[in-house]
Amino acid sequence: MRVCFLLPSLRPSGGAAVAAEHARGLAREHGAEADLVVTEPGGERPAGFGDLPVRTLSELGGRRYDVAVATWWQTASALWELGAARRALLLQSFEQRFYDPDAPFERLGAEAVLALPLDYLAVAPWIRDVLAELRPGARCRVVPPGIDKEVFAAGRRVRREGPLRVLIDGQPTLPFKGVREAVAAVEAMSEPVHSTLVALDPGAVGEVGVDRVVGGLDAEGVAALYRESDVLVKLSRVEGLGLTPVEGFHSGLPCLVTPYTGHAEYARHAENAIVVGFDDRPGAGAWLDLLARDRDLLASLSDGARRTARSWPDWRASTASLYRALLEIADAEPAQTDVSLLVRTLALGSELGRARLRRLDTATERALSVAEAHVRDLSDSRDECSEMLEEARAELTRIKGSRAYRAARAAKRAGGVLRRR
Amino acid sequence: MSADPADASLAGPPGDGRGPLVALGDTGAPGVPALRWLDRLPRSGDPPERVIAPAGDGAWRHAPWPAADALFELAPPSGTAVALTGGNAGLRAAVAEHAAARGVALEPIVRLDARELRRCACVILAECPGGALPARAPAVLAAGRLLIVPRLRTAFGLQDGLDHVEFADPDEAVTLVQAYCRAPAAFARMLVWGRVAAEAQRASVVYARLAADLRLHDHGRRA
Repeated sequence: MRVCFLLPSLRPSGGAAVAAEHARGLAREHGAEADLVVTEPGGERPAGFGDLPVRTLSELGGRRYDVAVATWWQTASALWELGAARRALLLQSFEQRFYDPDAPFERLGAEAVLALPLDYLAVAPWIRDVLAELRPGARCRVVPPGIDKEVFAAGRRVRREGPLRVLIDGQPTLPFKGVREAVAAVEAMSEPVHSTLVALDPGAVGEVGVDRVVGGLDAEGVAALYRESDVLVKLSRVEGLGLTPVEGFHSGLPCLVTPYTGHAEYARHAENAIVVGFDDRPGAGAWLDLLARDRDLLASLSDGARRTARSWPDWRASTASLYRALLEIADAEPAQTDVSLLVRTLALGSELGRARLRRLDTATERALSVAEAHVRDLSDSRDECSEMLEEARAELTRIKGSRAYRAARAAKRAGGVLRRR
Repeated sequence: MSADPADASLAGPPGDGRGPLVALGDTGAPGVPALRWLDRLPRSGDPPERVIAPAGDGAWRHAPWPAADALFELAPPSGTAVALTGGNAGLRAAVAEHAAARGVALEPIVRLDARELRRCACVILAECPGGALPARAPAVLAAGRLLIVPRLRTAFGLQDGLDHVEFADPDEAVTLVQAYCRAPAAFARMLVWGRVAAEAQRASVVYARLAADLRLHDHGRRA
């Protein structure tokens, strides 16, 4: 079987790492030819992803694939720029949720891929279930990503004293990762704490209010970070699965998480994790304080984390599951476009876009009215100043023409002559 | 639970009612509740209980009300009736006035409950205490009804334009209602996402978590 995974670029990201692990496993365990294909035009030719073959779209020539897999909505259009018998999308999240309402076109683009003639590979059952509601009849197979059990399963002891070592996960420049909220929770604590932020791009983090920022780590480096921490804090608002807590579980590291989509696949409140509500700063802070005080609770959560980790698949099992799914996709008829969903998606995008534009128009009109009022005020003020100036000038002329002023000037001049003599 | 029946139908716990006593809203409680879950900001004269509120200083937790499990099973609406309710009387009146001026029909509802939710397809909740999502919003989402609220600073995980819609002024609320009534099928995916978002507030999950919170925090305090 010949497969390719389409990536926008080779910049580090959770999604690219998952695709690369699968590509590696498909080649090693199943004898498949598995390429990574980079879709972003321009720039230098990618140096490579370790031992994996990496190609750009322009280098593919007449190369044909049994299944081509897009890994991000913006790579989906490239599925039709290469030769493929079947096309699929690795749904690691519903990516329209990454954008705020001021990015309506990105939202629309990300939503539209759900109507395309594709098979879907979801990283979590909830994604399959929601897709089934959004697009009844969509063909979707669940392939949870694996964990490198050798790297992440190393031993870790629960510290009984000292400040609580909090590890915050997320890139602060992505608001939906909830890093600001996690930092606020740590700041709300009254117990001693040491905080570390692990980010994909630490250079872009800026001032965040933690004791330490780390990033650019390889898997061993991340595993070491888990071992030296007491709790992982992940207060995301949007996730497909959120794999870092699962990695941490393998080191016995419990987590404090919000109930983001995907958390229910592994997080059990008071068993291996603490689940706090979204935007609940007092709650998150109070829980961290309790974990700092109650190390027995921390130890119990740590045990729970290890138990959960045991049942999570390793990469070999995960890729085997993907391989079976790819075989099924290759054997089945090509998927069809869901025209009705596409039309509904465009209709909603238009309606919301129209309302958004109306809001912009209203805001612009209001801003113009305010600006006009300011200009009028300034103009009135200028006229008033001119009048006052004229009055002051007239007054000055009147004073200069008065007998008293002239007498005073004459006396001053006479005084000057006397002083010079 | 100690609650007004209307509120209980939106946010009550399932099951036999065993567990710590929770007072929902400003209702009186037989005895001292383990906590009071307000739909407004806490005030200085409030009883000295643990308080959960959508926002405000002094609250033990910040959260909207849970969404009763039964609401997730509610059948889709049969029409496009739009309900107007919420604690901000001024905003409610302004929305009603703009709707009337533009010939858009809204049904004013004094007290939202599960029965009213069953009747309508869309709910304008005209309030946002402290800039936060109204307490009853998860119930609307769980029921699979379109939620329209004022612009929020604290959305408790919700996303404007994906699982609900927010309005900047009363006129925009009416524009959104018109958009919905023009193409209700297009909003179907928003209702799906609304239910997904409401899952984080599903009553059976939230109250179970709350019971564990009370137990562990009381144990931690004693320790």
